[in-house]
Amino acid sequence: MDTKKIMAIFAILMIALGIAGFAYAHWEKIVTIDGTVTTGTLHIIPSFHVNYTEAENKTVADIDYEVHAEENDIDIWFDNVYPCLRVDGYIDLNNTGTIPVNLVDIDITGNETLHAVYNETMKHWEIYDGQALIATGDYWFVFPDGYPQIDPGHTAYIYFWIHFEEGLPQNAEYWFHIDLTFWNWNESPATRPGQPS
Amino acid sequence: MNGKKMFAILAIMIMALSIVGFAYAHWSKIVTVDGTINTGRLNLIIVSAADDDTGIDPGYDKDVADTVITIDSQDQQIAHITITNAYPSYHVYWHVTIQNVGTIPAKLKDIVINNPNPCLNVTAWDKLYEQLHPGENGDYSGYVHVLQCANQTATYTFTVQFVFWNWNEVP
Repeated sequence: MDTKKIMAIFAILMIALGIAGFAYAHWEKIVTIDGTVTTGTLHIIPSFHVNYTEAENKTVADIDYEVHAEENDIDIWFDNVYPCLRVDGYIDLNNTGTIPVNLVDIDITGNETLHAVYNETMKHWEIYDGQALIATGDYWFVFPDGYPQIDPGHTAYIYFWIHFEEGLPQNAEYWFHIDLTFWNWNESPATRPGQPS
Repeated sequence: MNGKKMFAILAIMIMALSIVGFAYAHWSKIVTVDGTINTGRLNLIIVSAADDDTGIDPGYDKDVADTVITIDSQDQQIAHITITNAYPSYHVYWHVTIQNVGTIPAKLKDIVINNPNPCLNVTAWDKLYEQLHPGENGDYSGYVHVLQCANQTATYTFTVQFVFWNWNEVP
């Protein structure tokens, strides 16, 4: 076998090995980052407290509430109320979740015949049924973490008073509905619900 | 036996011995080459790990979520990131320093991210196709962002793999 043949075989072998090596013979080392993300919860449970004194220590009106914690809902009723009854109270908003929340919207609806006007002189709201003044009242916020925020485990309060006026009709039924909308604090819109009085 | 016969026998014996000697009695010398090949080692480990959430959540003013990144105590080729109490828009950067503790240069061939969660954005970058010489450190980073569609009280997992090859076989 002459030298040229030997060189040719050697060259072919080298090329074949090179190809095989490129395809199969690289070494590999993998460095791995494992990640686990658990998310928190956003949950507000409301409750309700009232204080009212009736004349002559009678128990005439029935004012109470029922909390549906899972629905973040509270039912309040004022039964058998009458003119000149004043009720003071507050709704407390307990952040039982793990994320701070911001109150981003308050939506109050009620009977279509009702409307409210803010009396700048008296610094209170006047509630009319048509032309009849049926109640006056006011509400204000106490947010220990700074309005409109509530940190986890903390409680914010919406205080109110309502005074039923002489224009309150007998045997009437009024309904109202208040939606308080909370978002995780970091994504709340820049605009905030107003804080009257 | 006369003198001529004796001489003929001697001559024949000398010729026979010389032929035998030519066949078996040549000297030889063998030169041997002994070969030993010790291959190198491709090995990389994580020598440090950190994240940007050191208290107050990055970009915010409260300490709500928490991120912890640790190197596996049994296998230094693994780091674990644990994010707890996360919420939409929570985001955090993490960083690892990888050291080439092998004997041959390594090159980052690929970054493989396995994140099946559409509500989690996971990215990683830095130094793709760059080399780490033996003994050299490289810093690599990533980012986790919880998106709006994330559920409450959910657990999401992901992995990020930095794939290193021997440097000479990475294009």
